[in-house]
Amino acid sequence: MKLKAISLAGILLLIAAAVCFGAEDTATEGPDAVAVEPVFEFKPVLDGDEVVHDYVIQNKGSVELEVQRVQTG
Amino acid sequence: MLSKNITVYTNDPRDQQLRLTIRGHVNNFVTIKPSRVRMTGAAGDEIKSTVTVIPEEKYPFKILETKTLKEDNIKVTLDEVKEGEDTEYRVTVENLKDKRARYFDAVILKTDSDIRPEIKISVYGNIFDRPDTGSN
Repeated sequence: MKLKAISLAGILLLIAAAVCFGAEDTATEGPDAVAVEPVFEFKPVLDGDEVVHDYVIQNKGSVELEVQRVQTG
Repeated sequence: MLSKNITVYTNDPRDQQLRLTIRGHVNNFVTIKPSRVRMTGAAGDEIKSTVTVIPEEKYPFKILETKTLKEDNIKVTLDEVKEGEDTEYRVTVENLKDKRARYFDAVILKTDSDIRPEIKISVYGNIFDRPDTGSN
């Protein structure tokens, strides 16, 4: 089945360390996680090909953002 | 269309979970039925399984050679079958173990395709002792 066959092992998460620590007046109090492009659509590939994409998560808040866990499925 | 989700848990009190999505079309290169082979039976019995390999019209290929991952678990024979103008292959896998055994092996099909020079089919073997019939 196509859904099972593709390898998504190469998906990477890239966390942008855009920590503001109150440098901007508009910064939200506390951490503020924003996914720049939460949906990535890849071009057609062949069954078994690896697809790799970096997601960028920015912190628009005033406190350091922590990524506690990542779950795929 | 294939679609998979990733959930990122953060310490952001307003948005503790971020949902990321990856999606797109995945094209089939070949259809393999069944996709995995299970060889189960009693030692001494003939244990065989046939796999049908059908090239997709968009990605035609020929099978040039068959190999196995290990030497002494299975024997493989290949037959080319014409279905109208299409060609498909029957791969027959036969158990070689004559005693109780469990194994993992694979059939490797070498093709003339530049995009898929090799196709691998997993083979699991579970050969058990013949049950004692107790005839006396």
